[in-house]
Amino acid sequence: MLFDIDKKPSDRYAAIDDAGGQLTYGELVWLRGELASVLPERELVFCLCENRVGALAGFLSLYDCKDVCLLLSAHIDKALLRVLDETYGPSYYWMPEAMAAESNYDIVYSYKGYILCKTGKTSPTLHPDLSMLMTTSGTTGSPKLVRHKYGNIESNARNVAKVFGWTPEERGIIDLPMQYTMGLNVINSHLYAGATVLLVEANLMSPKYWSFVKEQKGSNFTGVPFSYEILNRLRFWKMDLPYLTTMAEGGGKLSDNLFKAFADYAVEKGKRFFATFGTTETSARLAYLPPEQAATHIGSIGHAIPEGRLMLVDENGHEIAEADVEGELRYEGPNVTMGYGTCVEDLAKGDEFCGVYETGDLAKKDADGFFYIVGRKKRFLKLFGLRVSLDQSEKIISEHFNIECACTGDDNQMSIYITQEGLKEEVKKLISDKTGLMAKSFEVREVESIPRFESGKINYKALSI
Amino acid sequence: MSNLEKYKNAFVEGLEVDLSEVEGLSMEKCDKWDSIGQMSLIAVLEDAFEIELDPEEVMAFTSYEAGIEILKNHQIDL
Repeated sequence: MLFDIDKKPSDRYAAIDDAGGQLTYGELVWLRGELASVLPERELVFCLCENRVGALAGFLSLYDCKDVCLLLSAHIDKALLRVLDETYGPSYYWMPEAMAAESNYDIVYSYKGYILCKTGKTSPTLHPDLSMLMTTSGTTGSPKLVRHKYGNIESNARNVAKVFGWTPEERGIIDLPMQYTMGLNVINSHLYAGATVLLVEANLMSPKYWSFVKEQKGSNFTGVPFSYEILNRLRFWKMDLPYLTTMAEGGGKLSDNLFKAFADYAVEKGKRFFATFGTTETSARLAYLPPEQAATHIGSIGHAIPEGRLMLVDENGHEIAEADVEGELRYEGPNVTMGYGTCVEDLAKGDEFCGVYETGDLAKKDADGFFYIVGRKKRFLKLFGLRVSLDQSEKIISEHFNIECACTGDDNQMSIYITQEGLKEEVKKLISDKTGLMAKSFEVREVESIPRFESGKINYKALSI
Repeated sequence: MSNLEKYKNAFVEGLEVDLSEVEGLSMEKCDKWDSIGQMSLIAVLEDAFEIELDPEEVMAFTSYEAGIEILKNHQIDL
């Protein structure tokens, strides 16, 4: 079974959530058997996730039953869910019981607050290697998916568990959403080790969060840069957390100040601080910085995880051997997924990445062999750890208002340029609604015209001057 | 600007809600009051009143009313 779940002590807790839900390894084995008798293999299932034991139990069992889940948030924008549903036509939904009233599907099974519903549609053709689907941690309402193959999440769980040295005694705190690639990887790497994950819905700033973590003796924390900004504002240093041994960071670049502050804190308190780097296309983590190197390699993403190879390539695709030369980051390993999907026919496609993924990040390597991200080639921003496509944002705005528009910016704020007067506030509201991010993440500027190259492509460099 | 106006303004700026919604607002009632909203609300408040809240105070700041009590600890009366 997946992660040898059936070989773990059956009465050990695999997951405990902050609503009082509990799930043992034995129950997971049992549920897998139950679901195998309820639905056939190779069904397409939309899994509407919350960090609850029911959501996780269903996903793991369906995965092991060879059904293909698309992991989505249970709080997904309704319009986006409708687009995804119409695009891919799932034959089943695994969703919170509380959502049953919103649909009139037949409920064929229920377990720990979650229900399996049959939509009545026939599952689309799924490639035999296709194991699961995720969105590109994006929020711009694009139905673009990342197609995973069997072996992706398995190898990443194994290698990440190895990097962290997880034992069955760990109590991993998961407040990152389970439908987010790094959230799922934190869960999987703990389950691989036979440990317990603590699924948290409460927000990092609430007393409920910390009382749950203390009560359940959470030992490992994983956060995106924004989580660390919150910890900093909470004056985390003053908190007494004797059970916490490991802190990991990923999902974006932490400021050098915070990186140093947490690396030093870890040294001082005898804890471990791991900076990691990953992408949805590589089933999460592809690199990590050993904790003993953190204080001396501020801002580094470290080197490749086991079984992986990380390198820099120049414009001609040749590997760069020298230190301190900038190049594009390329990763090879068993956790590289198969490719993207934007329509239902893509679900029948095989492996297009073939084990090699160009992340689109510009990076350099120091003399010790540690990598540093220095920029980005692809057109997206990471606002609050969420990938927001600039091209998709342009499309949303220009189509909605029928105006010319150009989007650029940095990971703090997106800059939106429009030529039409008097629409600033409306544009801000639209893009904030569509992405679910606060309006202050966007600034809208009126310009005379959008500068373009002769080819008609937007000259972004000229815009930001 | 009076302290009460400053206080209300912090919600408008920090959570991006309308001034008319501010009184009686709480984390449960407001979608925008998630952890991102909380961070930004606390940042605006700390700047506006030139104070620094403790971890417990940041966490307990879950409603309009709770905030008034917390500010009292810092000798700020609304």
